[in-house]
Amino acid sequence: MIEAIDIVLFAMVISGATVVVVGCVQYLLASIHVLRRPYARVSEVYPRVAIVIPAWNEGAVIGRTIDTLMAMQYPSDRLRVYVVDDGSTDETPEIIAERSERWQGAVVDLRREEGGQGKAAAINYGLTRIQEDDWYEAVMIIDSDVLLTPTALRRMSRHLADQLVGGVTAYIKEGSRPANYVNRFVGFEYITAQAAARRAQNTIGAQACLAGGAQLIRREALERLGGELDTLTLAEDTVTTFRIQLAGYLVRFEGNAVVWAEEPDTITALWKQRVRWARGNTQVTWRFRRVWLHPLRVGGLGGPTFASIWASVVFMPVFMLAATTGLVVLFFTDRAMSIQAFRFLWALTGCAFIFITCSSLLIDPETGRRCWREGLFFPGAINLTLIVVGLFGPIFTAQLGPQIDALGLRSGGTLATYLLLFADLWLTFSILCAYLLKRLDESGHLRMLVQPLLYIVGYGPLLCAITVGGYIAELSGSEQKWEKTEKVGRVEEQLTV
Amino acid sequence: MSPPPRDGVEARLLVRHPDEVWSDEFRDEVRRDQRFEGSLLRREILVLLLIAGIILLRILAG
Repeated sequence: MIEAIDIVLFAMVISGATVVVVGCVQYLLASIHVLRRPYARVSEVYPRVAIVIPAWNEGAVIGRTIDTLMAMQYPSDRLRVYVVDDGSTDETPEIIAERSERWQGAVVDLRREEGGQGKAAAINYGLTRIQEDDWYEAVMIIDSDVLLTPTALRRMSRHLADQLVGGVTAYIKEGSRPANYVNRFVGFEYITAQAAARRAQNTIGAQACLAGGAQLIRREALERLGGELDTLTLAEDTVTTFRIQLAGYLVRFEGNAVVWAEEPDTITALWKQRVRWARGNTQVTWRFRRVWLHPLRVGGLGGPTFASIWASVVFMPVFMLAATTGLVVLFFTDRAMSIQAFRFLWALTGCAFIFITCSSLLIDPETGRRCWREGLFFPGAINLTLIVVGLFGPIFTAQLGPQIDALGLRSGGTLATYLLLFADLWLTFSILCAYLLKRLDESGHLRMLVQPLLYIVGYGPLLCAITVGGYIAELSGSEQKWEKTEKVGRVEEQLTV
Repeated sequence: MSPPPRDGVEARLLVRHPDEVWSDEFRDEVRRDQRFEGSLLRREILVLLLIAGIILLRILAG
């Protein structure tokens, strides 16, 4: 009986590595993406694309975004930009009016005086208007701050030659220059969450999300959705992606189509944006509950691999809590087993971490050169130390025995015991620390400490804390609102050349 | 949008219309992207070798 409990506890501990192990699986799947022959069915097609941009007080960025679209390498007679001004009170209306005058017929000013109903409602207004005539063959929905590289749209649209492809998304990259530490963490995160994860999803034939910043949707697919996006959840882009696939279409990620976006540069702004995403994911998990693990009924979207990928994101804090619980219970009931489980967890995490980090640097070397420090400190300095101990502990013990004894760190010593307990608790404690760090950033006090503390606590635990924030927001039923992320035009225009 | 829609399997496999000529630029772009996707496997094999080395080191030291 005790052995059975030990096995359960050991399994709980190992579940702490779920996120990184699933991450490894995604990188492996991404590496064999080419075997799915992603370009076997592309063709040089230039559908008539209606680009819809929802904008609310985007005076700092909207002009550049339109200018970049007009400079894309795409037939100008096959491109129209519809800017939905959602009742802006800044200079956005004047900027849109000026661009609309400059590019008559190509840039359409859609002003809603009674705006403020949220991003999805603004997009739907634009979609309704473009469907009033028969011109468009595909619709591209982008954020007001994103800057498309000149070839991004044509690299995406070539996939629409395959009549079964209903939607295509691009590789969104963090483009703020100069980039601060939060921008660089996001930049590195996007290699894993987009360049790798979405290629993996191409491989398994199921995409989680057409990135809200750049989603190209075939007209027929949009019509199958009733011609508009979902407004019931905070994850309208994810819901759209699921619905397109459930309607029988494929959704593709085109990793070579690059779109630059301005992402939050403070923990507080990041928290606001990501809690909305996390809450949206929680809503999607419940709304599509009949999809999970039903491969025969819904194909790739219902497959076990896709379910694992989704669960590793949505239930990340649950795995951390389970691992901590397992380690702490073992600590008090079976110390030897506790040490074994600890070493195994961190050795496994360490191998996965090295694989993910090195692969990320190789998948996107340009971002890797800028953000390698943030990749290294992604789990935080304390977790990094635990990884080193888990991976190289036996080597240290063999080579540095006397020194370890002198420091009182020999296994079984008082200091070693306390350190082990701290390490056992850290997986969950780090989530709490990340939350406190957000509070510190919010308070405006001791600002100079926020950056070093983030490198110590880790960006991973911060994402975990944000997911918990999403759970709490959803369970408490707090008001769902489109809390806009402030954009000031920090994306360098040179990036789009 | 060209090519025109076709039915069934043909719709997926014959996207290149017989009288359609791809521009050199488009062809080069597809080739470049294809080559990059193909390189990902080689890159990850290098990383896997590194991991194997670490595991071996750990086993030998342990």
